[in-house]
Amino acid sequence: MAEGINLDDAFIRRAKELVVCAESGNDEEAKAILDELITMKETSLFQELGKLTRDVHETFKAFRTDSRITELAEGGDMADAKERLNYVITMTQQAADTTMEQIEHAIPLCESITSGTSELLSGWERFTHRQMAADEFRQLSKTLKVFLDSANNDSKTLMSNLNEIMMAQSYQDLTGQIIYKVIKLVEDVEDDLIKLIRLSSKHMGQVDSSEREPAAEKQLASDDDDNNKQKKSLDGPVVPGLIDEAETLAGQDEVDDLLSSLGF
Amino acid sequence: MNKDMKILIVDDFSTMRRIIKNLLRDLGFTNTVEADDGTTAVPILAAGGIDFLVTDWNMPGMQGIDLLRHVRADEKLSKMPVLMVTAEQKREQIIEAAQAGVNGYIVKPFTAATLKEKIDKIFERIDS
Repeated sequence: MAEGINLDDAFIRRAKELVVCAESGNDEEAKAILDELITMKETSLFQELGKLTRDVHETFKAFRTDSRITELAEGGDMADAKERLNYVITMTQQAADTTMEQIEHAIPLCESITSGTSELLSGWERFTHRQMAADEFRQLSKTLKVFLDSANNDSKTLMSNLNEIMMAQSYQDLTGQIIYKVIKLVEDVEDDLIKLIRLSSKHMGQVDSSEREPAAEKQLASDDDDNNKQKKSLDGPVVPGLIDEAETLAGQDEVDDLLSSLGF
Repeated sequence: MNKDMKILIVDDFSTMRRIIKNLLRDLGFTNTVEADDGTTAVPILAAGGIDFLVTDWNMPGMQGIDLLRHVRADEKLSKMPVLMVTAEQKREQIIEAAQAGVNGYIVKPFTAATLKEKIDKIFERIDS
């Protein structure tokens, strides 16, 4: 501890006098000096404690005025982040549901095409090997016609199933944009926490302040720039519950209306 | 409308680029190229041969709105039709895009029908 090394002159002088008194058997005087030394020691301890308390207070004061953490907590950014992540879950759920639904529609169609082709193939084999009677061939022709009609329809339906599955994948873009926003928020919180640690260690005298101070100051100064960038950043996908209704259009129809009012 | 025209698709999410590419193919446009943001799109446009630009707005590096302004400011590219496909749907942004000279604006998520409708509309105006 610092006070162990920097004992002041008065303390050392009295301590030497204590040794002299004790050796010469002057107990009364030795006891008085000992009491005095203890008082001196306690005073310096209280002073240190007072300084420490003031430093902690200063640290928090500086942090509160410069930091975005209070803003994050009070401004509801954290609540917004939770809302955004919940919406990501909703969107991924919807995309997965749509995909599974379309696949479940498509599988029976594939099965019917497969069984239809197998049946026709075996008939066709027998026909090409001249193992088929005329009546049976007429039956095969009818089956073939029915199969071609249904396969024609089924493949159109399959095409639409595949398109639906493809469109459902757009969730990846939209949720990605939302998650980027949350990552940005987490980075801001991280920066502020680092700043808090720097400020507190600076006040506690645990780091070389000449080295750390400019960095911390620079970081505080760049806060305004960050905030400006924040304001300029784009909104990204609309998250229900976080809509600025006055400014955000409800969808493609409203966008079309606005553009046509602008002469588009 | 020339189905062989060369279309540049710009979006930072590859899934979205693939979706747009596939939808365009369904509409008969098979001649497409891709870029993942404005910065990579600029040299492709500069190399020439692109007839139609489909771009996202919010991208790292150069954003779609800046790419649009770049196109309008370049004498050789200024007449190129530009369709914006984006999740941005604030009134002021749509006005900003309109003022920058966008030809069509689609908000994500969109449907195949919307894409067809907007492309038809853009080329109806150009051809008329």
